[in-house]
Amino acid sequence: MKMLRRFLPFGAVALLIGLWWRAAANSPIFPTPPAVVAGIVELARDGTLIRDIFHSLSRVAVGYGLALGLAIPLGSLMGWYAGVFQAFNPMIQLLRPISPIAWIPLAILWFGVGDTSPTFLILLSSFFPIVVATTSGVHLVERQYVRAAQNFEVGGLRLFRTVIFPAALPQIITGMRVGLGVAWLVVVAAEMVAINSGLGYLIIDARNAGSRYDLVVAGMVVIGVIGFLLDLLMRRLESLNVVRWRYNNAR
Amino acid sequence: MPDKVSIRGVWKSFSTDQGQLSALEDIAFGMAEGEFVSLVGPSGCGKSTLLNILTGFERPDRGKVLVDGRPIERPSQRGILITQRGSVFPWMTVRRNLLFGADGLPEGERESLVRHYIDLVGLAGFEDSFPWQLSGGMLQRVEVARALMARPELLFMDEPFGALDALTRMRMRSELLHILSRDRHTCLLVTHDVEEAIHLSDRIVVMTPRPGRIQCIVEVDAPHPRVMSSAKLVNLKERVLRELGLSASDVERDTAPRPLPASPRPSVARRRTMRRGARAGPEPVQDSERVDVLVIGGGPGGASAATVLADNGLRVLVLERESFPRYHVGESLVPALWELWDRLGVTAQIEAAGFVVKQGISFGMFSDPEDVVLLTAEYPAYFPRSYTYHVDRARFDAVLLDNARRKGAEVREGWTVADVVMRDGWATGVLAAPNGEAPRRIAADVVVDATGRDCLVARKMGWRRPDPALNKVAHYTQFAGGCSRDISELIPTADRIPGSTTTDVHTIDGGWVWYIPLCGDTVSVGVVLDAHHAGKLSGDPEVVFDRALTGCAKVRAWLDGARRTMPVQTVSGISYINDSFVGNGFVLVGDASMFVDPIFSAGVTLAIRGGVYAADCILDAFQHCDFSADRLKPYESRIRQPMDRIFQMIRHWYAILEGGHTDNMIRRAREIPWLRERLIVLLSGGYEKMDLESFVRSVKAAS
Repeated sequence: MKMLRRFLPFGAVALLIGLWWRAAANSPIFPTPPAVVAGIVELARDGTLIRDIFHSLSRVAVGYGLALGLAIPLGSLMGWYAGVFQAFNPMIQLLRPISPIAWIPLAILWFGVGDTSPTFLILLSSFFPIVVATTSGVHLVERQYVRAAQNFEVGGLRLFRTVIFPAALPQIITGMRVGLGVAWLVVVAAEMVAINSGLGYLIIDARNAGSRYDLVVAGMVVIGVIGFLLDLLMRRLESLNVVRWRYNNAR
Repeated sequence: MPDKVSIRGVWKSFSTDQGQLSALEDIAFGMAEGEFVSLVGPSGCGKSTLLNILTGFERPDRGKVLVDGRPIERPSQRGILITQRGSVFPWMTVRRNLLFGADGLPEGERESLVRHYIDLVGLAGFEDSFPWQLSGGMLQRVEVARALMARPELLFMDEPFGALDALTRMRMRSELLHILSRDRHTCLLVTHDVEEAIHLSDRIVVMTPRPGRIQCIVEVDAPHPRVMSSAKLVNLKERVLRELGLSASDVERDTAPRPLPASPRPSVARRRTMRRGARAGPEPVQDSERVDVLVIGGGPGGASAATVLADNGLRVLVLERESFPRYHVGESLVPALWELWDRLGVTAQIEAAGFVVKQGISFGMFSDPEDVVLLTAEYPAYFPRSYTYHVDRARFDAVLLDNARRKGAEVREGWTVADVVMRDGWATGVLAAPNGEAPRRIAADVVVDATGRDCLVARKMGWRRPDPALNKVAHYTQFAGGCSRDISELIPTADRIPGSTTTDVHTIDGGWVWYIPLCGDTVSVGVVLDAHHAGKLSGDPEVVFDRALTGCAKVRAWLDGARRTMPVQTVSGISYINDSFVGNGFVLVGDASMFVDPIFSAGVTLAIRGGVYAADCILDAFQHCDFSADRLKPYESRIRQPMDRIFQMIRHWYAILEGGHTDNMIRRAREIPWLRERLIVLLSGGYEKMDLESFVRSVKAAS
């Protein structure tokens, strides 16, 4: 039974591939799974794939890193000080629902076509989930921890570093996971319009250059796999000892 | 030594939707260095608020909290708070948690401190574990260890073990005691677990429901390790629970609040003061005075009760209608009294009074030529001394009453008690005044009725029950001059005490005569007649007395030439046992509870015994702040035992008289040693030293 369960996800994937194969078998344009695999191999052989993956990932790294650097301090301040929260929260709630895609024209206008525009879009998209999670994480730090620290005459930055931040970290990590997922979505979209490298560019280029739908789907599969791996990586963070207490509550 | 912590008149209220909500009112107490104090009270009584103030997380509205004389301004490491919810940081290992409490020390010192406290709380091997890997009990130990790492002067605990299961909670208590025995701190524990408080603390502060005030402060005077099942601690627990309002009778009792007494004594009395203070309210009747125990009557029973109670720190007021010394009948005592006199601390005074020594009883049965002489000295092992006294009660009673004064009881002579004040079936005091003045109210927690045959309370309650089988009339008086009784022949030389005598009892037609030599050449003489028989004689007591006395040639001969020094007194319907000796807030002592026929000289013994037993029970009641009849009942069962035995003996005596048994137990005591021994012990007052039932059975079997 247990073994069967373990194979269920693979079964579902196999089913999807089967359906796809069946649907694509009679289509002159839509590629079959073997064709896509062949496409991936082809892209890997000439180095395009590695280069595009690297470009996409490095853009995400920079944009996401900047988002973390801005969102965590701001979220912490907002969570701790009611005044800061009152000042920034309406603005954040106003900007948050705007899809990052809607920002593309403005990004091109401001930063031109180059690495900056997609980085900005990634920063923008991952900033909001992280800032919101950090705010609520810090705001909801249980009072007894803070009081204990005050009892030991610990305050200021040390209080934040040793108590407030670790206490809010589990929620911050959840925000980071969401933020990274959004960042990966946005980087592909941004690369389709504003740049000439990366996995988004690979897809749009494959279609424009000769309707190579096998390469289009190959790019999609690679994007999916990388997104999956990134999420897996973030999930690993949740099992760190410093945050496990939060997720272990159901123990 | 000044208090380590001094809480002075702290008030605190909070603003809520319903307006200002008072949380704490006038909290004041101190904690000595190293003392462990517990705060118990119902939920919402402000215990935690008080802790917040003590730890500096909140400020009082009024009053202040001083540690070493300095006010607390903000939270500090000097006083660490441990809470039920636990504040061990879950993102840190045990070691890092401990280090958190010891910031500012050199690295090496911190590490060795960590090792010390890890060992102390028994967590060795778990230094690098995360809190979520530990059990609840272990976590709480981390909490304690981290607190101790900060080397606090004060340890505050807010239901620290509340979240643990019962077994772990008990283990943690012992561990905490173990830790504190090696690392003494001044501790304040907030708990709703009374047993936990008793187990751990030196003192318990009991708080009222919101708004929190101090109900009372209870000392736990028991060495560690404490056995929670010991009677003392179980009683203490009951008492604290009662203070918390968990006893129906107590709740009922306190529905009528009382004014503050000005009680000068510490101990029990002062704690009660605080309790009443906590329930201050409008007072319907203004008491002119209030005392802990009010004793009506200063005779032997009342004086004995007052002596023991005052000696134990209670505020006792004795109201005696007459001015001592005053005449009273009942002059013959028994050797068993020595033990009670020792208890009262009056032995020396009685010895010094120079009363006539009584060595035993001589019975003159049915005009036998030879008396049956029963001397205590024949069986000296039963009593501290083999003799007792014939006393003139005027002096004897005065000695006892003076002794009560000396022990701290306030005695007012010439005061009449008009009535006992009853409210909802509870005695709450008396109406009394100096003779002739309008009575005013004096409040008391317990009223002791020692009014003698007046039976003030028993009559009020309708409890007085004359014993129809013992419907006797006594006529008695005193003679002086020319009394010629010589007993030197009766007592063996070795046992003879110079100037000693015996109580003489002689049967006559329809009753018996007593002849009791007193100091100088005074003699107490009385006749006890069956009421029916007495009715046949003329109604004038003097005539009846003289006629009855003619029936006893011996006594008449001894009185030849003596003159009567007082009119003949009469008491009829002698014996009674009242239905009950205790009620809510009162006890009956001595003749006010029962009156025994004088034949076996038991009246004074029973009165003193009753006074002492009643006092024991009242002290217990004060320990528990419970003055209900149930709490006082042990006194009654204790005194009824010897009483029942005497009544049995008295009935036996009259059966002998009525039957004219020539072959009776007193005559047989001449020949049968074991019978003689038992009779002597009983006549000497050793009622509890003999199994009377089997004694009577064997007497019957023998005859």
